[in-house]
Amino acid sequence: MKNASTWIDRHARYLFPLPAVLAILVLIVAPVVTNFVLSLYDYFVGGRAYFVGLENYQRGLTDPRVWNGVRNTFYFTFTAVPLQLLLGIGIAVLFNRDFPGKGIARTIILLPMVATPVAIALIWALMFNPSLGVLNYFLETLGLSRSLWVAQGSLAIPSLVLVDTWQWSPMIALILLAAMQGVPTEHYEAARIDGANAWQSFWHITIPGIRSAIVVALILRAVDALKTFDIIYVITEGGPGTASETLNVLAFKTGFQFFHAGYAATLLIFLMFLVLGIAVLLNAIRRRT
Amino acid sequence: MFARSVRIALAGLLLWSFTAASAQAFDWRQFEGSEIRFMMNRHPFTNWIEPLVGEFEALTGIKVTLEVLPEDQFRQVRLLEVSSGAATLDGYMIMPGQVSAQYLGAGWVRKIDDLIADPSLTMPDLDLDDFFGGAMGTFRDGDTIFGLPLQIESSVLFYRADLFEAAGLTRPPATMDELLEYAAKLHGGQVAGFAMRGRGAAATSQTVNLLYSFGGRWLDDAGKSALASPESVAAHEFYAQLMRNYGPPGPANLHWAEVTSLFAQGQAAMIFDANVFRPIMEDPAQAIEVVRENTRYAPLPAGPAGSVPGVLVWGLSINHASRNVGPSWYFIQWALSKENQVRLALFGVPAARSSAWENEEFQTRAPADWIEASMVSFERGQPYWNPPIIPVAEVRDAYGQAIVAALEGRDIAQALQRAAQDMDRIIERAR
Repeated sequence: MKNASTWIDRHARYLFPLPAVLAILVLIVAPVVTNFVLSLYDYFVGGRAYFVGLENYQRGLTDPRVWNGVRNTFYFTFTAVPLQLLLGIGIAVLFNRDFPGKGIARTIILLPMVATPVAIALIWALMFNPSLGVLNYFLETLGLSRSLWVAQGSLAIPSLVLVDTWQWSPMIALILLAAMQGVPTEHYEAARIDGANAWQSFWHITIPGIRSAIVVALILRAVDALKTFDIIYVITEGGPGTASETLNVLAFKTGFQFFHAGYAATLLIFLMFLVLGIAVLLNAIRRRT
Repeated sequence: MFARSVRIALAGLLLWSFTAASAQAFDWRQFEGSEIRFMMNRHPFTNWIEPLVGEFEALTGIKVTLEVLPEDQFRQVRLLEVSSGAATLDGYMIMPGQVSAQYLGAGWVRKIDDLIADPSLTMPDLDLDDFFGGAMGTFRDGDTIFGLPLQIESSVLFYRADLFEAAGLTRPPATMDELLEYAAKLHGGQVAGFAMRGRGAAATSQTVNLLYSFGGRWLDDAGKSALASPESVAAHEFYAQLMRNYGPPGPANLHWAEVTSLFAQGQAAMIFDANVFRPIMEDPAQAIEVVRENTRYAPLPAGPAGSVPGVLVWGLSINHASRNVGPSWYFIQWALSKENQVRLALFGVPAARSSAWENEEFQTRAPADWIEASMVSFERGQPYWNPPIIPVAEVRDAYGQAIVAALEGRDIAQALQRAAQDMDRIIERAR
């Protein structure tokens, strides 16, 4: 008994993190390894699996549809995230000052973030409908011409960016608002005494004060946007044609509709490296600042 | 020498026992005491039959276990059990349009011609001709039969009588040329002349009706894609012309929900989609009044090769590994008898027997032109609303790309050429 407890005491530094290590092994490392092994097979679900080595990778790199997916993934992410950052900063600035009804306004603006993504996507799909949707009704009321929204290839991704921005700008605002409240008020007072106007104190005090929070928000949002699935799949299924088919949506179709599990696993490894690359890049920027 | 004579004697014995059996009359209690297990999709047919199984058990003394699963799991578990070759499963629900290539290719369904030919095993009033031609067609493999249909669906033309009258049109379009002409006359303002699906892979089950009516098909005699054939190009040029000129805005986004709601909201004068969507047009919560009062139905107009709609058919088959073939065949015959198909139709499921559709009480349940249009389509129907190969979803996706290209005004022949190449590659890879 005594021996056991001294053994535990001596090895406490290994024992305490053990549950967490096990959880990571089972939930993260094991699936990634399994996925990699699967990517070396030609496996049609329900049929037999054949080991093909790196053939899936070779096929993936020369498949125009994969490159279309990569292009769409980048297009979506690098349109949506900067837009959300700008809006997020704006909303945060707004809520950083006092005005009547601020509490209620803040709750309302956070609602898109907490709603169920599939439910949101279904409602947006209805609103986008070119003949029956409410968005075109608004456009016409304003005297503008109707739009085809997601029904037109060139507008599909911009329309999806609109949904994503509506849903996720509040999250960026929330992170930045917390950071803004940490900027000492003395700095603003000193600036005012020196005769700085509102723009100058925003640009020279607020922005530098929240810079690292901006990078954190960017990393979180970019990683999330790169692997967006729910709103794209529900609203367009990657269409019209493949106009809004991101790598993630293509991998889903390949695996769960076309049943090529091995090739789908390969595409997901591509996506993993893509996400990893962007995250490492943004992290390097954060370190430098 | 000895072995040979034994073999001959055995063969003789077998022959004798067969003739003796066939001399026997049909007897529901022949298999009293046996037990069978069928795997079923959680489908309205299953909801209907579950409480009635006791009637069959009382009639025959055969005990029936129905294993019911939601559709996705049903397909997976059925695949597992059937491919394992286990004799524990005797029969299952099947939609040949989805899996016949795979199941026939692997020999997983038992052919039933010998059972039908045996009067001791087949009830006198089975009457195969009573099943719609299109429904039986999906269960034929060359000259053989591998199951019986239980329900059937097809697509029909929905049109607005009031708009037809205003445009001076007195009857539904009978040919594709007329369809185009009518759509042009009816198109204008907020109302599209015509609408059908355009959303890539989801549209293929509808455009295939045009493909076959223009004389095209999925595969040529060598088993290669026939999507780039001249007939197919003509069909899709017609489709693009119809949809681009007289369709609603954004046709490449139209799934069945969009197509039916356009019509229900009075924004399309004609649509072509599944006949089972009729209740939408009668529902005050979904359709505006003028639509509820003026919706009429007609079969698919005829193209150069006639009017050839695809039919979606569910049915029952016997598992290749079953050791209870007789009792299973009894169950199928009972479940799909004339009386039971009427009961099924009155329960609200589109039955596969024409006698059920002719039932007087059933006829009071639906408009006469809908029944007529449906029955005509069921009789003519061809079974391949999906390509007759194993990787169905992937081929529908490749073909769907060509449909979107056609709707976006790109070169149709070229898009179909690419789809055909993709299709060939997909078929090749699945080998």
